[in-house]
Amino acid sequence: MEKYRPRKLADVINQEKAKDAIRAWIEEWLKGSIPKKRALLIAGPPGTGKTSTVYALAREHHFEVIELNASDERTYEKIERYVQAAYTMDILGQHRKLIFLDEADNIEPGGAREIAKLIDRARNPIILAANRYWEVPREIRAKVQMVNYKRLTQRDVIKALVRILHAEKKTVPKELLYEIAKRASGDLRAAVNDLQTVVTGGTEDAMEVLAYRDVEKSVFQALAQLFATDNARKAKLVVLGVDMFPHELLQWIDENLPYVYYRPEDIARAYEALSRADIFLGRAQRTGNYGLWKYATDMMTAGVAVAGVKKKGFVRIYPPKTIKLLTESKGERTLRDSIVKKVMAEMHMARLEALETLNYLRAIFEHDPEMAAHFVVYLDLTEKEVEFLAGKGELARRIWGKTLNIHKKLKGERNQLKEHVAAAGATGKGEEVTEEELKKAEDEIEAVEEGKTGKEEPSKKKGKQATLFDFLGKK
Amino acid sequence: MPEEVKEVKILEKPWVEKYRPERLDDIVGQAHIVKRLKHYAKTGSMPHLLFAGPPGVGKTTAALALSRELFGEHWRPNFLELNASDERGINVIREKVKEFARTKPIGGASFKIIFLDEADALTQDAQQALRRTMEMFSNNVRFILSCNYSSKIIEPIQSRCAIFRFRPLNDEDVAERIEYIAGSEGLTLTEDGLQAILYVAEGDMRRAINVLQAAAALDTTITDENVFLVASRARPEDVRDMMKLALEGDFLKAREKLREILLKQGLSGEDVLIQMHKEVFNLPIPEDRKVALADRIGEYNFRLVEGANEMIQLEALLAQFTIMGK
Repeated sequence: MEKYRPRKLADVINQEKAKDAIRAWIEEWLKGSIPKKRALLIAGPPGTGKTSTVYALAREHHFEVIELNASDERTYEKIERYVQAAYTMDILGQHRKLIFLDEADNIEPGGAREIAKLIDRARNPIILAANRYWEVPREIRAKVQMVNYKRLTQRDVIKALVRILHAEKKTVPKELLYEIAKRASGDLRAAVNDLQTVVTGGTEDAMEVLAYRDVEKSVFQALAQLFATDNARKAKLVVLGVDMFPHELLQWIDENLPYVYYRPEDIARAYEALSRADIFLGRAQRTGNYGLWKYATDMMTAGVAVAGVKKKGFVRIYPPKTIKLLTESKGERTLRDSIVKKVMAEMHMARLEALETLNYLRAIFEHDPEMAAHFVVYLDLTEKEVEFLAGKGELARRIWGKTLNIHKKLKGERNQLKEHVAAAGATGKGEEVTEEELKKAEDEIEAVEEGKTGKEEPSKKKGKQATLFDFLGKK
Repeated sequence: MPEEVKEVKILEKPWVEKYRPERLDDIVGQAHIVKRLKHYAKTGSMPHLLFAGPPGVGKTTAALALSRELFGEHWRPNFLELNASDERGINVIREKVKEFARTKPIGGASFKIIFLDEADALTQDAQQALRRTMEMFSNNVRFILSCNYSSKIIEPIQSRCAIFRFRPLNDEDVAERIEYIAGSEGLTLTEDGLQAILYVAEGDMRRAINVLQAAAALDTTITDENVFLVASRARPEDVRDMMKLALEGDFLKAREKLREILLKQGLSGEDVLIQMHKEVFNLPIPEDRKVALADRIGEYNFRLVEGANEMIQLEALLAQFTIMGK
């Protein structure tokens, strides 16, 4: 495992944006100046490269890492003793120190103020790491520059595993590799550990050997427990192990709650608790006071657990549909929003009015392809957008075909106009266009209009077709 | 679409655009406002304006017509339309204003006009920023702010604007215009059809014309049946269904409907609340229940503003409906 830690910051996988911020921050130190925030907090899920980053930085720039683990060595004296080094330069001047405080989300509130003070006086870089930045004491959060490490994708994990296998000159069946990546849920450290297990222990019974690391599994378990208890304290405790933001957890509870409660008054009471939870989340979001999250969690767990009489027996837990719906309908929504934008701009409407207009457009597109085609050209809709309004298939194709016709006519007319302008220009600068030429040009334009707009050839199919054309320039 | 295309005669415009009055005098039902706007046009000077009133009564039309009469044929480059709810964040608006104000008005005008629709969609802070922007460019730009409720516009902006309250249109005004359009388009407008249009339009001229055009797509004879058919797609039937399901105690079905409305149809949580509030008084329930439900809707509107996830708050509201339906 240690063997394949990244040696340079550049080798840390898929955290480019965060790495830029880290690089800028460490450059300040290297230049001999002190950055605005003397401490850096790297926040992110397990196994995304936080610790690796610290050691890669140290190796690259010749720092000695003083690693403190907030959860191991909690006594204030210890922290004090170590952190003293933060502002004492090595007398020999060879290795500057880099203080690394892991699990900063586990610092006892009592020590937080002291650490915050130490940060103020630090003359060497301090890096903190945490899975849950909102549980890092506020005093400390105020003193640090925060960067976020995102959860790695399955692809990232597979790529990293393949690289290790190459270096080790080992092979593992592809399915197994994918399985490891899948179970790791973005935790590269877990994946590398599993890979090691599989490589050393043989691949035959690998599936059983692998620890089940699926994050969502624990949500399923936690929710099943939550919906089985009437005990407020227990309800709070069961979600502790769930690695999820409170607003995600809220969606999970929301999804399953109406299957667990069946009496309307109980459902209403449970939702009352969720509503309160959401209000705490909203206030936390707006004010940056993430301490409020604990009340939100209280409401969505304990508040829901005590809401009423639950269904007896086995409860099946479903993942939130809303997230799925949102992902599924993303393409649709993008199309809809782009049509709405065009309607707002071209028809001078507010958003809500434009949304309403979409429904009228649907009716028009369904029943009158000719009229629809004019809307398409007027709004400059794309073929995909036409399909959104008319449905995929024959109808959309017919409308689209008609718009091409309109475009052709428009182009023809514009070219004619251009030619006349050009012809007029060719007669020489300053010279007047002769009456005769002008009249001829006008006649030609008129001929084009009358021939092509359908004014003179009304109602092949429908009587109203002739009325569809607006000769707005009746100057 | 490119500007020149619109001026070419082969293309049919949407009727709301085709029949948008070009001159102030042609605006329906707002005589008190038109009189003063014409005065601005005549003198060639005006203060910032605030247009308040319900949708579809002529606010945008008045702004466009005023610009035409002020600037004549040069009106287009002197007129910028922005939408507060569209341009997320005041910064986008500010940039666009800056860009627009950088160049001189065309055609000898002494100022340009910026029309900001849905100004009441801006937050208080954004409105403060807007106020500064208005001041910064007041040399060569006049703002026309449009909103549904002037009370949602902060005091300092109100005090810098001449305020015009657009009245809801009465049925006679709408009927006259609809009859005129139906005539021009060669439609047969039945009396029932006209009454149906007036019913669904609720004094909103834009909706009336849109419904007319959609119904015309079905048949050249405008019947009440077709009007209700096209209008029901747009009318918040779904919202009413959702409320009914909840009142009948079927929370899960109601929740499904809600998700469809929010995620598929793309209404915002606040849109849904507005529709619920409108519909609640049409529900077949005892009168005191209507009032109680309106009160609940108000409460959850408040919570929606306070909270983080609209879906949760609306679901909680539906859960309230399930107990009040009994």
